[in-house]
Amino acid sequence: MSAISGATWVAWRNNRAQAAVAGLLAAATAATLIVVALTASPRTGMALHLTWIQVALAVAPAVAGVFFGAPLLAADFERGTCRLAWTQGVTRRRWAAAHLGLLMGLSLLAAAVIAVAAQIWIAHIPADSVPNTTWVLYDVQGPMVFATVLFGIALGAAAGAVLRRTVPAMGVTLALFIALRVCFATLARPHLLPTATRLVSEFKDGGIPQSAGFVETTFLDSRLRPLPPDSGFGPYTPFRIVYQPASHFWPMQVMEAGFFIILAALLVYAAYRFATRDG
Amino acid sequence: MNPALEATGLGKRYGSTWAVRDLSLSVPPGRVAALVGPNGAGKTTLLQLAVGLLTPDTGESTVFGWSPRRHPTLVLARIGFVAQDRPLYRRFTVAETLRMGRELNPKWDQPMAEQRMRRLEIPLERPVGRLSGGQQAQIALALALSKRPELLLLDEPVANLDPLARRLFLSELMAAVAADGLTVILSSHLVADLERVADHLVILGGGRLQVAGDLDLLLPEHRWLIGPAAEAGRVGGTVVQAGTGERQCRVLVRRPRVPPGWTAEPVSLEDLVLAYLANPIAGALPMPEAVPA
Repeated sequence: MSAISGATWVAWRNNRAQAAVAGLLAAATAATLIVVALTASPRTGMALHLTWIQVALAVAPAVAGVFFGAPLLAADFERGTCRLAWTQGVTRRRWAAAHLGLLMGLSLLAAAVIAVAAQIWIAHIPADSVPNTTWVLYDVQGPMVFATVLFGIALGAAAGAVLRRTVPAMGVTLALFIALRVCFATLARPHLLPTATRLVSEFKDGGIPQSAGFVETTFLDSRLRPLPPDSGFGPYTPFRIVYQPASHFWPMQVMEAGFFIILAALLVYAAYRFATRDG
Repeated sequence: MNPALEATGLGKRYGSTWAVRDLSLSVPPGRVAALVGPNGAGKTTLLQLAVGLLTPDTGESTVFGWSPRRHPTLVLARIGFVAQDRPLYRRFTVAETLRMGRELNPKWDQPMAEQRMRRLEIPLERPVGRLSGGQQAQIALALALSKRPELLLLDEPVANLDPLARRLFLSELMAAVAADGLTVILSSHLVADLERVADHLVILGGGRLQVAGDLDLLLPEHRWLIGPAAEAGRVGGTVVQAGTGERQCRVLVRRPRVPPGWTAEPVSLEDLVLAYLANPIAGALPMPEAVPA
């Protein structure tokens, strides 16, 4: 790392231990995904590993934000070393830009590696080993993994720049990360694209479309008005299905991932603005 | 030539409390100025405003004519700053700390920095956090000096150092001043430390400027007047501090007129500072004054 210089060298020297740990964690995550994909027995193995990998990939962005994003700027303020750094020959803007540039550059790399590994892992899951694989794995698809890792780290950096205390910044990062992700997934995601509706007059195979997501089924009376939830139904009760068709899956991935990438960019800018304020 | 540090109507507020208020000040180049005041007088705030770490709420300050807000790089290139508690990156080795100085400062003098470390027998490969407080203070000073500043500002640089380290620090500082002729502003609330090094005095009280001027002008202007307590009312000049005994009284006066029967004695720097600190309303500013009739 002798090629880097100036404020970037100082940022690197000051955070290289964290960068090393983060790099190892990212490499280990990616390696585990690929090893599972290539070695687990297609049926039982994949199903067994599914849950914990989903959990790990959901937690990874939060961990990255809490442990690698939040302390980056907060530690400098907390220890007063910003007063050392800001009275050298470079402006605090250069200083903040070097730190955020290094952080987001390395994050981009780590996020891409994990996202690609996640995609390889998903590609090796037999389509029929998990019911409705595609939608179940919505959150651990490559684009979502990539976007949420960047979002988590940018959120951490911004919280650190605003609060200027490491531990509170870590707490706020975790809370906001969970809140935003859960809110988006429950409130916004089902409506990212207009749903399709299908009326089925007989309950039989083929009633529910292949690979549909966010399926909502409502039983209807003979005049096609919704039945009260506790009323009985038989094989000839008509029902209505509202759902996201399989063709919406990738557009929705791109929309949600894009939303969090744009949010990450705004948070990095906010971190830059707040980090250059008076110490 | 522009003053090394000039402030006009400078003010900085935290909430509703003014840390520095309506402060106008001019420190000429080449001086070693002692910035004195009780805790909370605004010393740290003034120094941080001067180097651009803080933005003033009123007025402005300049370093050799340059505003730290409008021309930050020009000011940063001219100042060396040792902040309160002498912050350093504790995990950096000494060599890495010097490299930081080199990476961040265009005028960095690496041979001077290394020579200084060798002379003080500070091992370059040792992490800064494992060095003594005195050695860390020397590194902070070396970092500030090796960027070749024209104005060096130090905020309580010898606080929490043992007497030996304190003496070594101040003698290193004075050697650098003698060699480069740079301007120094150093804050402390220990007058004894400043007595040996300062030739200019700035006293702050409650965020306001109380006294400012060259010591070789300020000290002769002040006298202890000693005389009968009953005649204390006849003392002329600006009374800074009056101590009344039963029969005799001692009065510290600026520009005294000595009543007959009274004796006048010279004032030490410590007396002068303590008298002004004890009497925050008194001021001795180098401003035009009405000539006494």
